[in-house]
Amino acid sequence: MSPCWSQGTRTPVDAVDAFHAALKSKDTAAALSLLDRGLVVFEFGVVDPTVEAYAFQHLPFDIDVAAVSAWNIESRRVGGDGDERWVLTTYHVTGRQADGSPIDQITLETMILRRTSGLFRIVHMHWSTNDANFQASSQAKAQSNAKPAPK
Amino acid sequence: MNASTDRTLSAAIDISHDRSTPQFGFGANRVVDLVERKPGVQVKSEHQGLRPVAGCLLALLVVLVFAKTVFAADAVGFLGPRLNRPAFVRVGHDNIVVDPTVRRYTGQVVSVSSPNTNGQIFTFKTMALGPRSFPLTHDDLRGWRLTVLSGKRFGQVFTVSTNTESEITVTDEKGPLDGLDAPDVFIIESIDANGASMFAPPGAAPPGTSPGV
Repeated sequence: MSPCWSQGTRTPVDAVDAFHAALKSKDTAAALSLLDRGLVVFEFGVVDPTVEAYAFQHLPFDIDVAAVSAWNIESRRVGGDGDERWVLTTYHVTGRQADGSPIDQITLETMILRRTSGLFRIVHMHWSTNDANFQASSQAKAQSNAKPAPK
Repeated sequence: MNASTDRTLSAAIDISHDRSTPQFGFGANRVVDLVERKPGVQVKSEHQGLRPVAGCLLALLVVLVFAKTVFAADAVGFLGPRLNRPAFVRVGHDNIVVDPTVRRYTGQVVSVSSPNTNGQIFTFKTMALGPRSFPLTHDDLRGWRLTVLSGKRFGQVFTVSTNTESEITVTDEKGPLDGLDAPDVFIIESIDANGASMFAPPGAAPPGTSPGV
């Protein structure tokens, strides 16, 4: 077992914030250590069905986005009990894209966390944005990008 | 719902919708209530009303059974831990277009080498996999960070010692690769053992002057 995998965090909010911190610092292993092996990601109408799928083709992009943007928490609610908790967060995301155009949007994030071996890890992530035009265009793009799984 | 969404997911969501359709709960009672509110024709109305209700229930049952069948067929694909599933849908913050902040090679383990005299494995054969990969030349991954993305060594980090066009060897600093096996997938990033980037985009400062990028 990876040392990073065994680190974990104590509270659900800690796990969520640590995940974003890991993205920002380009620490792939630290980010993975905060994900449950049963992770499923929903994002803008499409899905990463496994933690491996997310890690392979989505996590690197999230790291690149985190590196050039600031995610400031606007609101947060937590709930659940026992070993299943949820953290709902809205972020004001700012920064600059590759072409120099500004990033300025509200991103909505649902995180569901599961406690195993005393540590909370993210078992579900769901992101969306307040940009309706983007929501439509990203889904069209995802549709055209959908490819068979690597064998 | 987006047509590109994993068919399995579609099945799962369809099931969810089906289950939200009240069959024996509030909705069903409400239909009966509407029938019973008609004074004077309660029996006839109830008789006429129950037929559509029964028809609806039958239709819902058929849909539910069909959805369950579809879901059961895809459940392994949805929940399974491996990459080699038919539906592999790309997601991302696709509205935000950014340049890569590090160089990346993603690949799949073809086979691991024989253990050394101490019974440890440090070398494996690789096959480039994914859009970030590129043909390897001798030692172009030297010093880069390797993170295993599936299998028994999921999340484990190593440092590349050397590579050829088809083989990658890691340093012994973080132990052997034991447990790594085909068809595990991995990512190798131009980040050194200290977490500093070894990659400088065109026009940027030379690597090493700005740790973390």
